[in-house]
Amino acid sequence: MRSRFFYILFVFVLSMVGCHQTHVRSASHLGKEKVEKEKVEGSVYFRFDRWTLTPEQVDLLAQKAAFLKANKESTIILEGHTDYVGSSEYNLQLGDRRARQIKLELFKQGINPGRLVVMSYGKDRPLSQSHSAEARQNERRVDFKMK
Amino acid sequence: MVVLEYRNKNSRVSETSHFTDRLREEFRRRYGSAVLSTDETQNLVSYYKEGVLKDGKEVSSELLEEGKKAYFQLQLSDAEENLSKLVKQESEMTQVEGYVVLGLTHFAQNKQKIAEEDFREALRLDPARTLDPRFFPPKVVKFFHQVQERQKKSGSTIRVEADPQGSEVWVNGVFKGLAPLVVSNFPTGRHSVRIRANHYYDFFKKINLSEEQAEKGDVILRAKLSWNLKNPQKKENVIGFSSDEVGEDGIVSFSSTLGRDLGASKVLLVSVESEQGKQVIHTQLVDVKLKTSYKPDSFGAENIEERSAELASQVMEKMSPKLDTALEENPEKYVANRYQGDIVLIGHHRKPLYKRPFFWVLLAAAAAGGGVAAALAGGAASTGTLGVVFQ
Repeated sequence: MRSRFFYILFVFVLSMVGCHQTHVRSASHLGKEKVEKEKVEGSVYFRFDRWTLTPEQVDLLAQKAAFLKANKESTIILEGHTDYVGSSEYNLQLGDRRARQIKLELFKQGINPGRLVVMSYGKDRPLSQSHSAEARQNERRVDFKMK
Repeated sequence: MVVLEYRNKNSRVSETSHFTDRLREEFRRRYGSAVLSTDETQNLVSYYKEGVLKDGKEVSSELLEEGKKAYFQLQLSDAEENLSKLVKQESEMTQVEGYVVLGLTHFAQNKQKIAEEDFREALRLDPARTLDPRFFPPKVVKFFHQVQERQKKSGSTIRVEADPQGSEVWVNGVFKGLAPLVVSNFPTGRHSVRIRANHYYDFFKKINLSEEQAEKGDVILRAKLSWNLKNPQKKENVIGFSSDEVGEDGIVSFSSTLGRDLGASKVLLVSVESEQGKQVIHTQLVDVKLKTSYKPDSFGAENIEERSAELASQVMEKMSPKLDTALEENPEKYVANRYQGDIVLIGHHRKPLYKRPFFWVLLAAAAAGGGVAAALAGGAASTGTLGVVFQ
């Protein structure tokens, strides 16, 4: 009987002491844990000289937004790119508009804009040196990079 | 997180640059892609720096800093003088904060009526403003929220449309969202609206909302921002910034704003300096959300080129506990002295009883003592030697 009492008391004291853990944040807020990047990373493509989104693209962004809501610590860099047509300055602005449009759509979906970084490379970082219509289409995009 | 180099007149340029790169890669090895790589940092810094520098100069206000400092040191008349001057200036970025601290000062001086007017003005400019009960004395928090409840809730609605879409909308220095945007419950009176986007000239307008306008309904504000990037090819050679750009006092404000634009929660500033013929690494960790700095660290850096790996690990070991702990949980331990006033404030930040270690020590001691007493009593009873007879 006495040994049972001591056992219960011991468990009680241990559990009480265990409750008092100094709240130390794990390094997970810096993204140490692996997250499913592929659900967010990828690209959204645009028509020539355009930055508006199609309904299908809005749906796609809704899926990304749902994932971002579940992973509140991550930051996304939105990199705007363009094809080679036009001046550097114009294309830098066009890339910026495209990335900003995505940021706006994600903001509408409830994502904190502080987690969305807009960046434009304009035509400075082409995927290929080809001037074909297909290659140019691939350049007109916004890339998502998860941090 | 982002690791940036910081240069001042004592900095050794090449050593600072190389060691910062090394440290950045070490952090990436431990924390993964949450730490921006050198390439990413360079691109983003050159993309955002111009806008941030402009912003940093607008935000910094000596009067607000002086007023706050005086308030926290209980030099209430000095605080009142500085803050009264500040709110008269109607500076958009500091006005709300100015009225709040002025209200706190008047409340501490037992001038409750004036404090109420100050709080009312702060709430007119920013109806969503709150006082964090963890950092302020309960009396003043209660008073502030009573004023907020009495404040007229209704107001006009403002629609903001901007080109480019997705520009940031700031009303009275408070971020409201991205354009196109509808701001509702907008109180009558004077307000300033700023629409900004990186690489565009800001759009700024002061509006005066009358009761009549508020009754009519929506006010529509349309803004077309002009592109402002003269040299798109220009790349920064410093992956960070120098004291010449921001001044010694602007380091934390600038780092916080840059960190915010870069989507980082923390900014680590690194500088290798020459002091009395010896090389020293100085590091300073800045919390972006709280716009404040951890206590800075220094490390002896003799033969830095050969010992860069060893020194980088030393810095990492020192930084890790700071990165893994929320700054606000123990401000006395972590916050740099000159920024403590913003967090600790007058009066003590009272922890609940169950969060205090001594409470658990006492409870454990009491439980253990009770156990011992019960054991003695039980032991005695079982052997039947207790000489007490109940009759």
